[in-house]
Amino acid sequence: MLSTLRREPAAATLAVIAAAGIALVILYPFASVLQEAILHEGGLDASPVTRVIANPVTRQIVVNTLLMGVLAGLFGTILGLAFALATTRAARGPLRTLLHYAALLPLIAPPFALALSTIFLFGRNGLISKQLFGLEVSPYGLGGLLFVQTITFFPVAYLIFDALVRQMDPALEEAALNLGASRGRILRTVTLPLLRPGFAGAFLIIFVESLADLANPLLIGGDFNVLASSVYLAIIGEYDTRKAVGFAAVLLVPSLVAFFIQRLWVGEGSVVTVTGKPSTGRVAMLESWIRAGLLGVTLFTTAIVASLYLAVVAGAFTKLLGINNTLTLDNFRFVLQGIGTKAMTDTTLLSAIAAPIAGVSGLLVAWLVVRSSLRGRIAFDYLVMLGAAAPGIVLGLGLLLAFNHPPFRLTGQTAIFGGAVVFIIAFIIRTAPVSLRGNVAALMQIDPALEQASANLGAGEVTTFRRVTVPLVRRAVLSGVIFSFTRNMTTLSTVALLVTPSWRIMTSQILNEIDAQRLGSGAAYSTILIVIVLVAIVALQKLFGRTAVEVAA
Amino acid sequence: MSAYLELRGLRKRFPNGTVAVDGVDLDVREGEVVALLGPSGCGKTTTLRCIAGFEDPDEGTISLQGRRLDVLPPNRRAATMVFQGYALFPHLSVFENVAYGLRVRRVGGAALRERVERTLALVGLSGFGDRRPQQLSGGQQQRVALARALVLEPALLLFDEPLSNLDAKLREQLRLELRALVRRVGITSVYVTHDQAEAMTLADRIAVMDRGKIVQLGTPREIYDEPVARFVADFVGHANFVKGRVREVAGDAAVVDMLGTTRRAAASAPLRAGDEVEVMIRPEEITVLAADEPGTVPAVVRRAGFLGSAAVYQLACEGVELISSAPLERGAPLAADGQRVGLRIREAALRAFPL
Repeated sequence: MLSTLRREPAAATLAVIAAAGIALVILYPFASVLQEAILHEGGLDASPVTRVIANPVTRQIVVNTLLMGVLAGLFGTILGLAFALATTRAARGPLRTLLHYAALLPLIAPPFALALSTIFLFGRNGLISKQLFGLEVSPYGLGGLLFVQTITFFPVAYLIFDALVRQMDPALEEAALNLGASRGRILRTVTLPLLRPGFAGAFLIIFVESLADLANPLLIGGDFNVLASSVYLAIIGEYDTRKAVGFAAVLLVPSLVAFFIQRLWVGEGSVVTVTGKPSTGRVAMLESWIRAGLLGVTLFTTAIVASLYLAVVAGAFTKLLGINNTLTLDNFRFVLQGIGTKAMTDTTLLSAIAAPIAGVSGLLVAWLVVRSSLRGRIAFDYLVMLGAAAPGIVLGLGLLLAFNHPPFRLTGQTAIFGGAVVFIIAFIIRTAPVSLRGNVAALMQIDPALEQASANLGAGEVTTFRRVTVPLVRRAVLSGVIFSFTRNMTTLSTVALLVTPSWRIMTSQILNEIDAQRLGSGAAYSTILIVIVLVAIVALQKLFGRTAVEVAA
Repeated sequence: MSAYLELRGLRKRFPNGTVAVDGVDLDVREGEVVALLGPSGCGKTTTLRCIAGFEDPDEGTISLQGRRLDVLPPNRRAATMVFQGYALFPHLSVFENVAYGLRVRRVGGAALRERVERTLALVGLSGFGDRRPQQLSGGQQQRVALARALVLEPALLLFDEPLSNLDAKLREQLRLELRALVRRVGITSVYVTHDQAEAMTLADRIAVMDRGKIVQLGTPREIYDEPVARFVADFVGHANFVKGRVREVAGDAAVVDMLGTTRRAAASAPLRAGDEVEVMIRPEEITVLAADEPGTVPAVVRRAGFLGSAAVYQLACEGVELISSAPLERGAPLAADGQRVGLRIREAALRAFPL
């Protein structure tokens, strides 16, 4: 450390600041949850956790959660694979572009939007289920939940498989063809085995996201209770902190295990993957019956995605879609004249403050991890990743427990800035990990000789960072900032427990509207959110070209 | 009087246990170009990076102009480097790449422009200032890298295999250009390479390195003609090695029984009668003649090869395989495979190494 201080004074200083920041906003909230879970009135008492396991009702919630995660992971992975194969091996030209964007569209849906339109389309009075086909179906429960989660999360798998397929050397498939294999056989014996790392990665990521999902279980889960929604209901409905902590601690275990397995096992590979050579376009199309199957599945999914988005918009502009289809602007009027305007400006303001901080902290930590020679620098990486690994609701609970009392009283109306600081902290720890990953990948692509050349020409650490490193990774930094902004705008689970009357968060308002059975204004809110996010992404696209949507995703 | 650049007892061990530099002592005189030559892994690049400050030596000192260099951070050493692969900043123009070090030193305005332009002119890149490095050919990029290092008028120039990314023909041409340029500016330089032709063309003296140590330091001629170790003889140029036994010693030379005959060879180390030795014979010192030529050693041609400017023979002589390479005059016949021939071996060029 002493020699580091002499050789890399800036890195050493930064490390101290980063360590203090991480301890305060990441470790302290987690420690607060853990303390509440296993300590009570000065003694060791893990009863909040053991009660969850012992009680058959709550044990069923644990089983439900894992069942949902595994099934969503499987369905999402398979659908993502189908899209990746369809866009690279079955479709060309405009069809390929259509499928590509259809697979990316769900990434920008705010929580509730897809569940809301599922209710519009497939609910008890659903436009499609009831009025088109006369079916009496209910979307509430595991089935509807898996439907919505599969549509919401398959794009993650698509991006992973798409990157793997693109970096695959077409010569391998050509070699198999040259040796006499049919295209179906090549798919089975060459292509799919080469995609194997993607299966584990996609499954685990979707599993983690599914477990962390709060909005869909609340809206469409019906009697099918899961841990994330149980944490929320324990606080909001019962004001029972210890019960919430029990659920949260149990939820944390599979989430962290799956997340870090994914990181250690397959994660590093996918960094290389993204930077791989683009496909040369020489790849052969699949046999027609496989193509037909892939195109059938993916086009059907595309139709569902499109109708879900249309239904949100339609729901926003009608009295009550499915029951009273009169066109109206009442929903928007209600939202904008009510607290909707405040929610919009509040959410946008807080998101915009947090985004650059998250982007820059991601860069600084990435620089420490990749470029400094500090001992234990990898710990920074894992600790920051904790913010993305833990389900948002657990993080929110941790922030609530940590910052609702001195010495750091930041939550609630009476705190400094009416509790605004804790939202900004929540946004930062949730999105800085993504900026970190992007910047680590970007920094690893930069030849260290460039920074050494700068030092060799007389520049100090800070000058080198400013004049060489930052210009070379600015795309990663800026996309980290814009990702952070869009994610901040659309996140619910992290902030759901933190809302106060002083600061209104749009996603939380949507939840209120739906709770109050005002589905139309919920749809209007969602439409506004989708527009804000789309504008941000289009701006990104304008700034950085065609890969922007993938980056934002 | 101390040398201009002085390396004393330099040692560097990597965390994985590899000893990259194992006690290197080196004196470089002012204005001199010294090449560190050796196979990959011999420690030449690590030595250079210690001088630049990118590696911290575990032991030893580095001094430049009598002042300790190794205690300074990398950005305070007046030793600029031409990187392998150039390390040109891709986000800056050629002009800004060259100006980088000057801007760090707060040189600006007309002085900056004048110095950058002058240096670009020196390397023959006037008018290229607005280009991006990626728009230049490999040879041009190499010259930008050189200009970027030269513009600071450093006390020492460091070259890390600057030509290794270029194809053979361009490398040969740039070698000569680089030599002219380095001579013209007269900056003391340390030049790392694994290419002996590069080292011989560019360097005043060559330090041949093997396993972290300098095996021999000398002028190109000394290295080639009087290698002190078998490793140097083998690495620099081509060499046949023939086993023999010392019959008697006469001053610096030894009379050696070899190839069924007796030859005088310069001794690379003190030898005694009866010592087993290996004798180095450069391929160009073996002339293939008719079998009945007097004073020759009988041999059989295994394979005759025609390289355009030279004839290369694979020969069997007393159970030993020898390579001969000699200029071939236009129209002169090439000995046939399997032909019996006589070899003339030039005695003056033989060197004996103890086994």
